[in-house]
Amino acid sequence: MKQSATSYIVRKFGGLAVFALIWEVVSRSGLVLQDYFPPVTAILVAMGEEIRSAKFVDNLFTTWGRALGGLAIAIVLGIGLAIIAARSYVLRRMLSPFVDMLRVLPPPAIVPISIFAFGIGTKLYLFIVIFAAVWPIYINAVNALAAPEPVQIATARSMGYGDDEILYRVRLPAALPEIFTGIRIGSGLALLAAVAAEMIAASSGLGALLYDAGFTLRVKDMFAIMFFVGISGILLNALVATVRRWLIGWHIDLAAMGEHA
Amino acid sequence: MTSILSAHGVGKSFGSHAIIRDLTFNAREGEFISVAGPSGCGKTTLLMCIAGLLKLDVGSVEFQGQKISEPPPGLAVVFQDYSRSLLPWKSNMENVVFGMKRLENLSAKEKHERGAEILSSVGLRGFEKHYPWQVSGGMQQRVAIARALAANSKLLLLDEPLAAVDAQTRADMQDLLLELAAKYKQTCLLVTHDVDEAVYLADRVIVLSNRPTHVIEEIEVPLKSPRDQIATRSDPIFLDLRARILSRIKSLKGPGGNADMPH
Ligand SMILES: Nc1ncnc2c1ncn2[C@@H]1O[C@H](COP(=O)(O)OP(=O)(O)OP(=O)(O)O)[C@@H](O)[C@H]1O
Ligand SMILES: [Mg+2]
Repeated sequence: MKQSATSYIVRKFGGLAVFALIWEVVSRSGLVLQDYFPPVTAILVAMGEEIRSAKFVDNLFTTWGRALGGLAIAIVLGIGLAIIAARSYVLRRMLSPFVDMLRVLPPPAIVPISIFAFGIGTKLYLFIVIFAAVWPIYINAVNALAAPEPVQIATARSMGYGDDEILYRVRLPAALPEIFTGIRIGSGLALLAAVAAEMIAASSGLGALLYDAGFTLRVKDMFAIMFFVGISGILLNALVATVRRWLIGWHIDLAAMGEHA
Repeated sequence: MTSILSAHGVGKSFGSHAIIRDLTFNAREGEFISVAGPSGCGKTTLLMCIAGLLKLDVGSVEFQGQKISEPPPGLAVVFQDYSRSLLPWKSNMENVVFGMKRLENLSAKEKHERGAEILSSVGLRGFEKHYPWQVSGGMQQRVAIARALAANSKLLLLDEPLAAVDAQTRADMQDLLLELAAKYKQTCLLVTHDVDEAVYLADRVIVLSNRPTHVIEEIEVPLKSPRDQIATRSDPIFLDLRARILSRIKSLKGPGGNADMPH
């Protein structure tokens, strides 16, 4: 299924363009106060100014670093914990109420207690990002690992594979598609948590800038930073999608085949 | 000929449901045995017990003189759900190589050469790099068979391997199975619902009873080899055996005889 580059771009960004146009018209029409609702073009100009400032770029990278660093640790932790839990039904049952409790705590809710534990600094932001991102990864991984295809396991056992080899060579690869669903959700939460934590307890990063711009009524800057957070989300999603295609391309092709069959 | 497999007084229950009771038979080296029995009688369970994948409640299974307690080397299984048994993230070749776990002294390169040879002998040359889900059901079945042969096993357990393919493919696959069994010197134990198929393939047919299942008849098949789809199937011996087995199985289906147990 081939499509031209232009039709791809239209599909992907057409909606966004229409939205921006409506925004522009409404903002300039005088229906709303331009001070609080600046036109898109003005925001784009503000974004242009931001991105040319080395200080802003520093802050942008700081947030990316926190989100990506925390996400990477959350992936390792979430999958590691799932591998341990997958070995024991009892352990899974015991962990599940904790997981259900912890996963609904919004990142800002754990900021105060985390400050007591870690002080203000890199550890704090990482902890909050990890905390936000780890649960969907863990939950998806543990569910997938606990529900292997019995025939695959039986075949592997008859070939002489032991339990550990079956875990790493059959159950884990089979679980990867579902694990990636968790990673995708977790990556969004990682960015969200990084920005939220920065708004509450940081002097650097997009969250801190956003907070500052918002409460000093620099509305255009505020929107500009919000747009940058949004763009970061798109880039992060693209990154996850690229790694996903690289690791489980087979599954994507298999699913696509099912859709066209 | 020496015995390669012997099941003696095998019994197996799941909870309070007795599935196998006092089942005994022998397989000689190089023999092709068809196992026919009513549906749901416990054929798959029996194969799992023989493969060391399920523990027996009573009795014993000996393979090459060793009592089986866990999956033994030299024994390969092709499961009824073969398409789900293939690993979808591995190509056909990688799936076959995956079956060579116990061939530790082969290098990766030698394993691939062996894989290529086996894939071509099941008629899949040119499909090494395809994924199992990119090829037809019949081809997936061949990949599963190739993977079982790849282990360099002596005994091949086949659980209704041809149940899901169309008639023409089925006939071709039957001949391919016989050819492969000879080429790779396999002793085969093949479960099938189809009495014609059981007779066509086998040196001996074992007929199983309803649950709890046991051997009710062992029938030698004195048909000439190599078998031929037309000549063999019109041979009076074939027709006679077929009638005998069919009536034997029919006699099982008395009132309540084939009732499915609730579980
Ligand atoms: N793990 C299990 N736990 C409990 N019951 C089981 C289990 N596996 C199979 N059974 C039951 O054992 C009986 C025999 O099953 P089995 O699959 O061995 O029969 P079969 O002869 O292979 O059937 P089919 O002809 O459908 O392939 C069935 O009633 C099945 O529901
Ligand atoms: Mg079965």
